[in-house]
Amino acid sequence: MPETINGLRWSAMADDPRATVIALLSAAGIAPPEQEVEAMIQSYPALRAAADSLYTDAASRFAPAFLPSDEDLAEQ
Amino acid sequence: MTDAIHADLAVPATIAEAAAALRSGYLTSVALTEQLLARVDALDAKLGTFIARFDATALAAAKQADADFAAGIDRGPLQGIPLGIKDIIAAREGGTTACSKVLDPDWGRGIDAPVVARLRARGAVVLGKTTTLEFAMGPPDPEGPFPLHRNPWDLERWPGGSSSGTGTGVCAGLILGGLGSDTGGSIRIPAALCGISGLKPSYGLVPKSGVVPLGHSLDTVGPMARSARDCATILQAIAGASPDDPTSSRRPVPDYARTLTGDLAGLRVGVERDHHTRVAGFDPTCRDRFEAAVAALERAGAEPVEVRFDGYPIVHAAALVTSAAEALAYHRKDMQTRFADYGRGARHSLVMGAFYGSSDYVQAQKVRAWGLATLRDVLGNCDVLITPTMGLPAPRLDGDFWAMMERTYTPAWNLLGTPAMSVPMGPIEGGLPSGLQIIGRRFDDAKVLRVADAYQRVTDWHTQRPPSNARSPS
Repeated sequence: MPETINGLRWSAMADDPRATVIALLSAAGIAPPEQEVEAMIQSYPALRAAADSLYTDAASRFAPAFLPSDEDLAEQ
Repeated sequence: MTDAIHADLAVPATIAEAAAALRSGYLTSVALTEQLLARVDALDAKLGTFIARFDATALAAAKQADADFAAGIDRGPLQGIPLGIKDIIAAREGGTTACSKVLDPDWGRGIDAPVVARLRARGAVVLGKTTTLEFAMGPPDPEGPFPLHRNPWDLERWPGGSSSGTGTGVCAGLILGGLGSDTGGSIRIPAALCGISGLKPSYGLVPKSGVVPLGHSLDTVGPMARSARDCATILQAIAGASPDDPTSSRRPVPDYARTLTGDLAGLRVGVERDHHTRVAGFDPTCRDRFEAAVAALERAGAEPVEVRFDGYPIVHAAALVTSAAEALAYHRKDMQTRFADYGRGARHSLVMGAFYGSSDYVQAQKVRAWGLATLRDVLGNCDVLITPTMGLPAPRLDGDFWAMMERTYTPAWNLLGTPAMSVPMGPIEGGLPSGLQIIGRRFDDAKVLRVADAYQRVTDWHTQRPPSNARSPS
């Protein structure tokens, strides 16, 4: 694994919302104006926390990943 | 001028009343349509309800409805009834904008979405296309080129979204009902904040072909009207499989009106307080309204039972991750090449999808399956669940939209595909409306409507109109 990506160290991306947001926007090919990037950096930790919360219940780890269908949900 | 919003209507307030008046000869569809168009003339600039009006075709449809009545042809309770269609749904009179500069102006041009075709087949009068948040997401955008929606109860406040125009139109009496769409609350939020009724149907019950997508596994199209009975009438017309939509269910559509008996005897209503009204900072006036709603349902014959849906917070989070990821998948190419053409609110909502990883999306789907199993356990002890729709009144147009979302209890039910309805629950802070959310098992929309209708037989919040002193925009 390279020590840097786009000139940013891996450890910096993990710890620094600014570096992470810039890297993720770059990966998605989206280039907002600088002032809007600032707002995204502010909101990023809350978004990440919401995603991280998905992994907190052990039971869900072993659930199937599927989209609901009539048959799946007929007995709900 | 704000008195006009409150003006005593010479026309019936509900579809059911209008249907009766049309059949009694007291009213013609042409007269009804003309009167509503006159109200649109007087109020639309203030409320931002319509993005496009179809006056000529609407009057032609009304004339046809009257001719059919005269000839003894009765297509059912929507014949001759003026409705509004959210402008992410195709209607043959013109293009669809999704209130965005990004959408191809020819998208859906010249065709009716199946839901619109079904309304027309029942004799409904399509008055026009109603405004939406851009691509049915994000906060309101005062800087954009599209009409800014205002809440008829207070014109400096937001009416909710994204089905904002259908919400304000029903609330202010510009239409008797209409269609909205709901991916995370877009029917139920404006229903709650405008004091009307709105149903997010079970995922797959109503076809969504001819509708601009947002989150493909979450999107639903549903009715908005003053009463649950009117919502049942519209749902009856639009539900059922369509060959254009492979996600639409082939289940038979029940007769919803027959289930509206007003009797809830033997029905158990699960009351979820722990993740709603017992949360720190919850609006005490909304809590009081919710407890009054529980008592009203008990008066209607239901047995309230306390339940706790432990999966609620994680399911809510999974709904947000799923919605963001699916929305960006649809918009990614345009976000890369036309970022500035999106309004600020829409592009900030869409970009969230870039901040989640592939494993987050997969895990959200695992949570979806886990949440369904958890909900099944909860519903093993009751027939429906109830919660407040939201925990605060309509925010100011310049308010903190994202903070509001923390008190919005709608997205989880999109993830789980269940029917969820918001009905008026009475005034809270500032005399503004609130909503009671009723959630059922998937494809048991009939029971949700039955509970909502029974609740409205023992309360009158759904008949309330904005006050004559509704504040004008400054």
